[in-house]
Amino acid sequence: MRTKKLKLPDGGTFNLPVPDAFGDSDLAASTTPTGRTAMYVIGAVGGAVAGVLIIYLATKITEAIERR
Amino acid sequence: METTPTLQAYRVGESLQDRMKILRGLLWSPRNGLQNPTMLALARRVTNGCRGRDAMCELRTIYQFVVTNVRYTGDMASIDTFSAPLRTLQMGGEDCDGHCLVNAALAIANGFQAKARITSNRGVTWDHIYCMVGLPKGRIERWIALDTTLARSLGDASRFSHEPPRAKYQDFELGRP
Repeated sequence: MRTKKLKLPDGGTFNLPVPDAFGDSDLAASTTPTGRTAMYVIGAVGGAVAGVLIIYLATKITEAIERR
Repeated sequence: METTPTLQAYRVGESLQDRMKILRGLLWSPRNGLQNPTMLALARRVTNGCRGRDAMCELRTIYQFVVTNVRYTGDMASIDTFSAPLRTLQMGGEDCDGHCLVNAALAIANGFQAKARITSNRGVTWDHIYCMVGLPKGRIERWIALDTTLARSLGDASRFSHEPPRAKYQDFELGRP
């Protein structure tokens, strides 16, 4: 097993054992995006939908004007 | 047959209680947390240079140790990842929840009561977490912040006891598995 030398405030070191392979315990991940990321995603999707809607309305208005 | 290690995945939504349950489990993990004697040995070794009963020296020393050995680094993109204290020290870097657990583990192993403070920058989302430690030991009159993510560089202990600006916060006990 390898060790990692941790620096101590008194100038010494502490040899922390490091396993050759990490196991699957003691590390965890949330499958849910963090709150801020979720807000970015909602903002991006909302912006895209609003953009498409604006272009659609502008096209319809232009067509109506041309018909006159 | 040998299996490939994988990250344990949790669906925790936005619930702070769910996240705290995971963090508390990692803090007290038998393999890489407070129930591993290596964690206790390390904690005692870190504060070895302080005089007996000098609680403030112990906290300053813990803070100095963490800012020296754990750099601040972000999570995987878009995913909250959590790590037990010894894992964080082995890897040498973590984000705020990892820093919080290392500080809490070292403090609790030295006889302090610790809690996690989760803060909101603007009152909309929960953005940050750090460790609060009670002083004096046993009959707490005040709480000291150990937010080692505030270090500007490895080894910078100038932000000891500083708390970042926040719109609101919630505290969670860490003192038992």
